[in-house]
Amino acid sequence: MTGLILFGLALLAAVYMTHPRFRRFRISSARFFTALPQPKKRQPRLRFGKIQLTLPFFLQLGVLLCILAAVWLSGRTFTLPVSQGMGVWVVLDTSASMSTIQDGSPRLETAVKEAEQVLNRAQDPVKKGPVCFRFSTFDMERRDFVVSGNADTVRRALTGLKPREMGTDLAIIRQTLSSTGRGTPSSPSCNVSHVVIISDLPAPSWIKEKFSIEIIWLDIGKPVNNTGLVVFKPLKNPLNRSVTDVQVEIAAYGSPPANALFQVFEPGGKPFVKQPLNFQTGKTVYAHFKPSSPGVYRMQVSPGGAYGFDDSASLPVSPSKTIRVDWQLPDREIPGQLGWTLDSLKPDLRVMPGPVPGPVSVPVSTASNPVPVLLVGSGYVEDTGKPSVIRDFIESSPLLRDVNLDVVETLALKDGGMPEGWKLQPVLRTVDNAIWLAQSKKPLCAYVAGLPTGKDDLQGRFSATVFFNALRWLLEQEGFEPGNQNRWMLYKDEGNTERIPLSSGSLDRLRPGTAAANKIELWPFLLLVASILFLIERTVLK
Amino acid sequence: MKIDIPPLPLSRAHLERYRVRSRYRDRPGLVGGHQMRRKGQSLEFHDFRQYVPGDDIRHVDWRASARHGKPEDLLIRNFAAEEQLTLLISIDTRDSLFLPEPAPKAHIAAWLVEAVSWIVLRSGDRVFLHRLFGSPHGSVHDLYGSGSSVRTRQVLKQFLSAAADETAERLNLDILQRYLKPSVIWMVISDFYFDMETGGRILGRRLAEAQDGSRWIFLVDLESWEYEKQLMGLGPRKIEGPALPVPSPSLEIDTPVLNEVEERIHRSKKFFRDHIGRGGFDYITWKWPGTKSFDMPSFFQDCFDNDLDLQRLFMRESENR
Repeated sequence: MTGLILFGLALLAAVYMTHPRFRRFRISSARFFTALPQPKKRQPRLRFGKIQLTLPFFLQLGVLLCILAAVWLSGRTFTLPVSQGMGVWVVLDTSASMSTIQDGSPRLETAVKEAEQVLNRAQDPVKKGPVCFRFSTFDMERRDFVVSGNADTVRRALTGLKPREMGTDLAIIRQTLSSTGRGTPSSPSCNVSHVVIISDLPAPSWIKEKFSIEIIWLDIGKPVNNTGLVVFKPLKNPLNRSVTDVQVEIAAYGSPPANALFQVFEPGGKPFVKQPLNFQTGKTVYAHFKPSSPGVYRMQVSPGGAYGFDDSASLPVSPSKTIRVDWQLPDREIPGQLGWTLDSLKPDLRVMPGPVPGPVSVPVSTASNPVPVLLVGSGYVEDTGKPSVIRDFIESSPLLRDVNLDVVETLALKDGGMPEGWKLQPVLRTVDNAIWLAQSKKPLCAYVAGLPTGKDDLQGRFSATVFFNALRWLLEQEGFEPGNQNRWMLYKDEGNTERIPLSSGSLDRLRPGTAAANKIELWPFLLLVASILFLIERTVLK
Repeated sequence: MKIDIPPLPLSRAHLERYRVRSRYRDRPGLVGGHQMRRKGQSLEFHDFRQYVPGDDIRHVDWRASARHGKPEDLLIRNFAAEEQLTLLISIDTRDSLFLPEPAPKAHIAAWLVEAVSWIVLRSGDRVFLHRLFGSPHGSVHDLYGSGSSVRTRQVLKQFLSAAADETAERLNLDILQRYLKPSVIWMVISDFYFDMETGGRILGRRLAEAQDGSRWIFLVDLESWEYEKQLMGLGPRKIEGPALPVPSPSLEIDTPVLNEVEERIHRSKKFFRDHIGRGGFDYITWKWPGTKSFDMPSFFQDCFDNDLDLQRLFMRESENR
């Protein structure tokens, strides 16, 4: 190709050396120039030193280069940027923290005003093209109010919004941004080009990642003072499920109040605990109380500050009760010793022989009524003449709590094998492939090799330890059902009102972007340019 | 072809001085035999007319002047036998007169007509303006009286703005039969670039016939060859212009070629002059300077003021004739 170009250039130069440019003259004596004799002294035809660098030469050179470039670039394409309108997606935070009073009004009101500002800026008819809008809210979930509409539609959707008693899940936003872009329109009638997120949270660091759309994060939060409950944890007796203690974490954000007070009220409303909160050593204070009777205990922090949802919480304490058990083992001595009630219809726990042949005959796990199952193996061998050797074990398993593995290697199991159909994970296994302990979270199930022997020896202590470890683990997994007034599930940081605001981007970036149109072949344009140059050279300069 | 005629570079005062100076000089011997009607030699009174400088003071009627005219006016007695000077100006309007483009001959021709006509009309004489080539329709205009000097320019514009047609190279001479009276001075302004076998021969014959009637023939040759030669220079050229059988011939212009063209022009004009006849006519040549640029008004003024042959048109008849 290079040779072809050089040949073309040389050819053009030769033409302009051998074919000099005749200058035109219009004169009155033209009639006397007819049939003139040829000049006796002819000029040399090829004059390398006198190439005619005239405008036609350069035009013809341009034509030649364009044609050669068209051949060279055939198959090459370029994308023509085309101005498009905007698709603006307004995403508003409606988590509980948006109820925080800031400058005399809830943060949500400020956020709604900011959203109005976004709508007005995006709708500037002079600078912007056609604009469509989406509107959603987010907290622990995303709710889409307007999938495609105009500013008035969004304004109507903004009316009546209230903070929800929920935390904030930023993963929702990240996932939304990752899946939104021009190439993957989430709405067929409104291609989103800009996402404006209005929240009281600072812009997360990942907002700087490269997304296919323009992202503007507007943090409308301002630091304000707040004191409130962060988390509380009821501790239960695993055998009778009674709440024995409640641990509470209280935090102050901004300037801690001097006279903060933590109170707990009994089910009857009578103050039960009254504890001044001293924030001098730090901004977090821990408290605890022991419920004395069943009922709903109400915790309160005063003064609560700008954010109200963390000022109080309720904890229902169930009365202690005996365990109802579906005992399917022949030895029925143990339930009586533990004070359990035998109930096969509505059991709290089901105890079954370990190696269950064939398919599971008992529905041990359903979505509506999961019942923990304890599988018990064939038991231990009396004579330990053949000690066991441990093959593997899960050290972190709660079934191995307080277990001395050296003792295990002095014991032996009766033949039994792994129970089938339970998808148990072995916790302790010996080299002969005997399963000593196993567990499964779904379905909730534990396997022990045998019942407690009741003897005061290594075997007796081991069998009792692993049996009660399994019981405790199974009964601890039972879910805690919060009442309507409980706030303990609130997102932990909702009450953090002292964050430094951090926005990302500004509304000035609300302008139409460019999108790549269809790829266009380059060579036709080069030929067009060549044609225009040729036309000029042939007509205008003639 | 459309062309704007620039204003005459000579002022009225300049033309008046030129006219008076010419009338106070005696015309030397004429080149050829032709007849000039003598004025004021009859004893039969005809009428009065206003005195203009240059008139014989002896013809002033002092009594009539004192009775009818203003103090500064004098009346001249006209006698019946007196004939006016009649100047017939034929102007070439072919395409070649509009060249060379930087200094067209048509400008000089128009200025010359305008200046000469003004002087003649100022003297109370008559001017016929004639378009030498093209259609005979509207090709002759009769101008008489000093007020007609304004019309001169209008007629010139009409002549020079006339669209070129198939008759543009055809001589327009038949219409002149009734204007070529014996006492007429026939002035032809052209570059005399003719096709010899047609234009040159015909015009020459007509001029010879006019001479036979004792008319004064006065030819003004506007020659721009030297200037065009400088414009062209040497080298490869495409020549364009009127009357080319092959349009835009590409030529290698060198000195022999230029000499050949110059010789052709010389031969052509000689051929034309040879066909006029006896040779008793005035032939003046105004040559464009051989430089690439010059000032046309200055060139015209220089030619006009210093051309004694032209000045002879306005001189008094010599006493010894």
